[in-house]
Amino acid sequence: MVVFGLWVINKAGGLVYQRSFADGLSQLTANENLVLAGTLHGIHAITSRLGPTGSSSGAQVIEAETFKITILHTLTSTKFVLFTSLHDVNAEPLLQKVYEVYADAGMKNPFHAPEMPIRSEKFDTRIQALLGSTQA
Amino acid sequence: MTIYSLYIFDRHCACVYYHDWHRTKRPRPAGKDALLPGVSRVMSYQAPVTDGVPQSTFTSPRNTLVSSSGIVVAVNADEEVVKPPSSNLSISQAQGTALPFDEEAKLVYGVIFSLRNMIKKLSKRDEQFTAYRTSNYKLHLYETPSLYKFVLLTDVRADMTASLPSPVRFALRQIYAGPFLEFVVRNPLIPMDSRTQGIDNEYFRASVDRLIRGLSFFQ
Repeated sequence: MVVFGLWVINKAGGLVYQRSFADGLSQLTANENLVLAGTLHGIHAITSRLGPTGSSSGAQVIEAETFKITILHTLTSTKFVLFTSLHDVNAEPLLQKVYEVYADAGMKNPFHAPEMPIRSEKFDTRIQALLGSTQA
Repeated sequence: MTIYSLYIFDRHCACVYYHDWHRTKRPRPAGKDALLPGVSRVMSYQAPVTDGVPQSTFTSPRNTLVSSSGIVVAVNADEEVVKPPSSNLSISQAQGTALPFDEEAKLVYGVIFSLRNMIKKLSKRDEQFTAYRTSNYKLHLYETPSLYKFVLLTDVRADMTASLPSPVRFALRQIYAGPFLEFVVRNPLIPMDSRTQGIDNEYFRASVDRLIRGLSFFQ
């Protein structure tokens, strides 16, 4: 399994953290990433309305031919988005761990303002330790 | 495993065909002039019934076509003879928070359009968006070279085997290669790419229905 990248999207659809780990997806500019994160936020809202049997969650996994996008939507509407290879079975547990790191190194940091971009070295290193070592 | 609904869109973003199977929450019929004629009899605009006599309720999707006199091979643009299939059914559908069908079709198209562009931008090679899933349904897309888009909604258990190629996508390709080619492309009464009319006709609907019901994952 390969982890290509990670996004954290706040509840307003803004990209507050973006990081890529492996080549495989195209390298986008910061601006393109922001636009795509906003699009994903909108798509996520629409997909929850299209349920054929009543209410549904938003999209959880989006699949392309060689990669997939796994989305963890937390109770506070923060979205953790992980880009992995298509047949990766570990994406969901990994996202839970990312959420844990976010709580520990992001939210518990007294200098971090909620909903604002995450700029913390500790968060960076812990994410790197978690996701940077999963290349196989 | 369950199959919920099939949408076909043409390259002009218009929904040209709709068929559903096990939907419990069905959309309301489309508003007047909001949907092309010949997409789906059940979802087309239904004039308010004045006589109040409930007509026969339909039980199978095949009965959504009015076939009392011969077989419908194409739908005429002016549908003055079409009667609403069932007045009491459409009223019960209209309650609740169901979207009108035309708006639902636009949302479906919007989602696949945006996701397709997003995937293309993210991937280095020109990759196709194939599917997404939520907690209680999964949407599959198959796009033909002529930009017809076949969209199938199933439950999440269909296609969990992670085998390549996905059986649902293969089924969509079969619809394209079989019924679509035979009863739409080769049907002189169906104007392709017309922007004014859908592709619904009785042979196509019956043959899609047979194909879907024959699938190993159809419940």
